[in-house]
Amino acid sequence: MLFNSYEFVLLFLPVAFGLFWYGGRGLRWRLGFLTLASYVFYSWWQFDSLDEFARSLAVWRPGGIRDFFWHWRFSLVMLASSSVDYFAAAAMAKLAPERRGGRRLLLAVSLCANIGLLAFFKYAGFFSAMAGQVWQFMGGGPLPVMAVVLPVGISFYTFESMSYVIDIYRGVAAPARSYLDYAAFISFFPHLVAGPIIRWSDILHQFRDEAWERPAPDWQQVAIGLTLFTMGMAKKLVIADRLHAEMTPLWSNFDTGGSMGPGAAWAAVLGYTFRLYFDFSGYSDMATGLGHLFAVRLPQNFDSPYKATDPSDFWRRWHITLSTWLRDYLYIPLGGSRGAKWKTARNLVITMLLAGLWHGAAWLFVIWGAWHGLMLAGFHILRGRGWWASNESRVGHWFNRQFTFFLVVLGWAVFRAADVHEKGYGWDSIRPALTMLGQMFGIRAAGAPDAPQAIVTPLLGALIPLCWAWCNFMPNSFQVAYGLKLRKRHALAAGSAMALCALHFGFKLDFLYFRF
Amino acid sequence: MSLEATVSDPLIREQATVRATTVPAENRSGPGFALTWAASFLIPLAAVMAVNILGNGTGLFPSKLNPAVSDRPWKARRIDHQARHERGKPEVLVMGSSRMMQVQPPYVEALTGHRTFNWGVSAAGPLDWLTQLRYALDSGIKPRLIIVGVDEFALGGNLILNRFEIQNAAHWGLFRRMPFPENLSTLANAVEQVRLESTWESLKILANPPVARKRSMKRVSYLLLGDGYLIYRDRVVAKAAGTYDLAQSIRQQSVDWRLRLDQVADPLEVLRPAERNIELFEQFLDLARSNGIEVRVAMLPLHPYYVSLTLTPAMKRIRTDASAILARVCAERGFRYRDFTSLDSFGGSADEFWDGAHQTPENLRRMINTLFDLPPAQVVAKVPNDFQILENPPAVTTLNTW
Repeated sequence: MLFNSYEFVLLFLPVAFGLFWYGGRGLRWRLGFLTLASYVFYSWWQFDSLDEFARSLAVWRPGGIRDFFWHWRFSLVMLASSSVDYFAAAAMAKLAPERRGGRRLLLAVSLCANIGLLAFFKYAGFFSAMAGQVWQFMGGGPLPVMAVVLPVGISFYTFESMSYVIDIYRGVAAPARSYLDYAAFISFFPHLVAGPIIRWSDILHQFRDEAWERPAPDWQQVAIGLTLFTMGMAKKLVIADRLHAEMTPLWSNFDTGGSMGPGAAWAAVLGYTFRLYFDFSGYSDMATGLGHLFAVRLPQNFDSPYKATDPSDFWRRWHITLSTWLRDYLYIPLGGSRGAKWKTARNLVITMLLAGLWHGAAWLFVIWGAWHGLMLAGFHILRGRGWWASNESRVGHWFNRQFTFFLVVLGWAVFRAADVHEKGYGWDSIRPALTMLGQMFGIRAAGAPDAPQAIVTPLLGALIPLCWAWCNFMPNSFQVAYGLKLRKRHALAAGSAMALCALHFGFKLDFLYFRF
Repeated sequence: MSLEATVSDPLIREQATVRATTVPAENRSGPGFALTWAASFLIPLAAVMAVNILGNGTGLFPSKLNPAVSDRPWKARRIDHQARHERGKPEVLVMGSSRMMQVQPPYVEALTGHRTFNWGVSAAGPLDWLTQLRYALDSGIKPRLIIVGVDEFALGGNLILNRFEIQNAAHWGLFRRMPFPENLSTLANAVEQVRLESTWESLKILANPPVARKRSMKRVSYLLLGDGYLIYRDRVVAKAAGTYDLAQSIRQQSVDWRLRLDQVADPLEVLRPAERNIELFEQFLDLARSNGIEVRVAMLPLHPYYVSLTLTPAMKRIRTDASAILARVCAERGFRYRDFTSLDSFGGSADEFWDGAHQTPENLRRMINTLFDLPPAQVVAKVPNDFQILENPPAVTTLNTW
């Protein structure tokens, strides 16, 4: 189910909110209801219509059991994944700390299950294509490439699940008190399909918090939640989707072999840069806002990332929950920055390569990750030698900010090509990114055929500087929602904005991060 | 694994926790914020919906001011009007997709001796036939006979291939008789078409309501007559001029079909007969039988060239399976079923097609003859052809009616 749909806003959300708060008061009711609602939310993608949904539940019909498994297959995958981790962690918690072998074995089982799941659904095509290329290089014939439909949100919930088991193994978190607690944590619908990637330690205490024992919602939290939800919706529908519509002619022309002058190429890449931000941060704002409606405070995922003054700062502001996950479960175990400088650089590059691979099984994502790894490593070295400009002066600060933005935009040119050509596993799939980077700097491949030139629409030409100004000068959604003294006039403005957003529901454009 | 990290780690930041949300008591919001938010969201939205329903800029709502002119609502209004004010209640109904819309009611009338209405609508399936029959019966129209032409994939369950069902929302009588939960899906689809552009369009209509519908023959590509019969004006004119390229038309249709199939992950899955559609078809047959209505069902042919370009062996198997299902459900209820997928089965000609799927009135006449056990070549009654009708169009057509 999409947040930006009538069925969600007018049906699912009011029913879920009402039943959660007023359907029963016990913790078990609230956890159970939230889990059930989340599974319905998640499974909605598997249904074309309401009748399909109703029929999938009628298992007593001939073929009903087959229909049930087919329509709910991705929910069952999630259920299986969370069950393995829950029981592995529960068994681990029962073992005495000195029984390291048993604990390691359980950790290995859980990690293998999660990584195996990701490997199958997300990387089977990539690795089978690579194997095919190696096979062909050795003189063999072409091998088929595996095509597997990716369950929505699998990258997010497997990371959440893995972090839980690792935290239990490390002894830094208490195990879930019941399966229901754990199932509610994994499946909680606001964060389920595109993050934020939450940790068990973020959520654990909240299920036992006094907010959950209240007979009615905390209306202050609801006000913050509705404000964040509306701002996220507006960012997605009014800005990101409009940018998408304006950029489509440029990118369609490019994707079908057309060429672009440097101006159009920069407009296309900058448009994508801002679209990605408003789309993904809009989703995160909505998720966080929805969390507030159910008295669950989700972590902030974006903190004005295009105000970053260096690559490291960028990753403190962009997709924060992924970067902290990678830091805690990958970078630090690799050694972090505790060794020689080259080791720190190596660790950074490895971490970011895997960050790239997390986004999808394609060489371009790996290259994008490598680019960010090199940026971070380079920054680390430059700063160590005092060669990175100081932020203390105004000029230095603005130079750093815009230079960082420039570096990030170059990365997005590669990322966008990966996003579109994800299924191109071969080396040829790298060509679109190189072509685009070349066109941004006025370089055209030798012998490239004449192709229709793309033209920047006036609206796109106006939107790009507006978005740039927004990202550089405006407070972010969290600063607005938590900084404002929320009054009825704000509710009036937010509600009216929501009505305007509703008129865009019919376009049904997915969030960009749904595919990762 | 090491748990420690030094503060100089470039990726280190404090845990991504939520900012403190402690708000002084005097600044805290009560339920008033949420209520104001809901009111300021829902009231304007309801107003916008009202404007769209009344002005009907999308043509998907049952507006009295600006009735929709797509084939489902138009034909439902026509059958009503004909029954009450013109020729009386039809006794024979021809149902099916656009591929049945060139069955000529005057010819069927001559064959059966009963008033006939062609109620074929674009991309029709069991959902439409059940809805139409319910509507007819509730309106006091109880036909003696229904002739149903079934497309080979009409029992498939894919909404992407059939966006036409949404037209049922544009006629209150049809919409009310749609089965549940398909009516909800249709309503939701119609509501999702409400956008800024449609609101503006609807406002313009409300501000300046059109008084009469009067369109020029030269500006239409097709025309529906009062008895539901369809004429492809452009094609008729081109054929008369000797410029109609059937092979090109078939090739284009084949490309379009493959493009549509590309939109779905598993094309065969969506073409395969869906249980729900079979169930709806059975409900339709049961409703007819319980009202003493005879039903004759035919599976429609495709052009052999189109079949060779488009249908894979797996698709052909699906067509065969669908035909077997139709034969079974009809036989169970004592209704006649004929499979006309082969042109030889009814003496059809490959030249008597407009494209890969749509036959000319001549082929359809032969098909109807066969369905009534008459030789294909026999002409029961001479009726005017499309070109003659266009030269002297009848009083009631889509040119001049809502």
